[in-house]
Amino acid sequence: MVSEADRPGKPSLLRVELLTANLLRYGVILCTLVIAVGICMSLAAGTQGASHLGSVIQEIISGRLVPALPPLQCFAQSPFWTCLTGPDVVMDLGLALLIALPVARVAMTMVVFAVQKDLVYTVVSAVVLAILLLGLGLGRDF
Amino acid sequence: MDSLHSLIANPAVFELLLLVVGAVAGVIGAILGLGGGIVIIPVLTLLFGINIRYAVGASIVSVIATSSGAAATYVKDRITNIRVAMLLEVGTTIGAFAGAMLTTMISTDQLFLLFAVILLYSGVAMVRGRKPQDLGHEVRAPDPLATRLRLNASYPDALLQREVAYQVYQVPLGLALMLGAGLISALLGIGSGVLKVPAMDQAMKLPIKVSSATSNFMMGVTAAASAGAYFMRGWILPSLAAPVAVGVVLGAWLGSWLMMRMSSARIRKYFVVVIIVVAAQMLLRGLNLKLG
Repeated sequence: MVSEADRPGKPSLLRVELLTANLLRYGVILCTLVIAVGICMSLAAGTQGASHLGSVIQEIISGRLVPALPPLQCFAQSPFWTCLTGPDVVMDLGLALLIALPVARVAMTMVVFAVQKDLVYTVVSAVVLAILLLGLGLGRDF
Repeated sequence: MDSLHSLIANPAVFELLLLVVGAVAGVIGAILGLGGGIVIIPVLTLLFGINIRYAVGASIVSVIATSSGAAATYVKDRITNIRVAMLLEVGTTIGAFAGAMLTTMISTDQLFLLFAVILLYSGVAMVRGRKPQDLGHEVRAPDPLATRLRLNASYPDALLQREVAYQVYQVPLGLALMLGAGLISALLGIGSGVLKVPAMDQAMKLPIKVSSATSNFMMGVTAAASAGAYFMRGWILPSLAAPVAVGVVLGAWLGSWLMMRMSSARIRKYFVVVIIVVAAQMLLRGLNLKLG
């Protein structure tokens, strides 16, 4: 997908693609590892004393919507960094990183389009990025 | 059902089963250009008895994981059209943003019904589809807007062993369809590849492999536009979403490896079957009917 319009001496669209590919590839590996570690930590915590995970699972498979699971209530009411406690924190961190990955991807693509002086696609990327950040920022209020 | 419930009450078994569900969804998702939610949501709700809100939350995360995991492979193999993806993401993210705001206001029954109708239409359109289209010989004048936006491109087809050039048409229609795809994606927690692939394949005349890879690539961004809202509402339960996400990543890698080695016609055939199955499922849901 190398367009004739990609001038030599500037990062080509192929390079944008490869940068993007690597960001996504390594990002997914990192997130998956963090989440996997988080699962192991939660399982390990579950075998000692009160089983946190066991009780959460009991709630989940009851089919009810449980509005008051403590860490989630915290996320719904406070800035997320104040909620980083409890046995599920590593899983939460991994999941948050995973959600952030596409946002980082769009930001990265925007920068490379800007370096390429591709005005149209820099603006297009910026619009997508703005909507994403708006969605993340306003999420709590809806 | 009771024995399954007592089995999944064991945390290790529960997490492992969710991992397997994710892996299966990942393989299917990567091959068909779907987000995997089509597998995850029915399994979690119907089989595990989990509330649909949590199933949707876990699914949204898995959509991001599928997209990011498999898209890396497609981009390296130069199948994904980055410009088409970025342009259409304007539509999908606006739609998803609106969907995330509307999700508590709209009757899901009506949405399921609407979705079933859209799916059936897509399935019929794909069965009728343009058969020789994979060879990329569209004898049509180039679309001026697509040309100005430099969307026309080519991709290396592993099966045909050569570069296949293609042209893009009907960009505004594609964008409009993506608004709807983004909306549905946010409401139902699916990647809505079932809507994106036909929009690119049928309306914009992209080759099916490019449509599928580009759809998969876009899904993560679409899902991220509504995932924040789900996360903040507490609908993304870590003990549910985490194992599903890990399974989906593993499954997506396997699936994208398989996809490179399959013919387009075969992918299309599978896709139509999935569309019909999901449509029937959505219809039953919308009418509040249950099987058995």
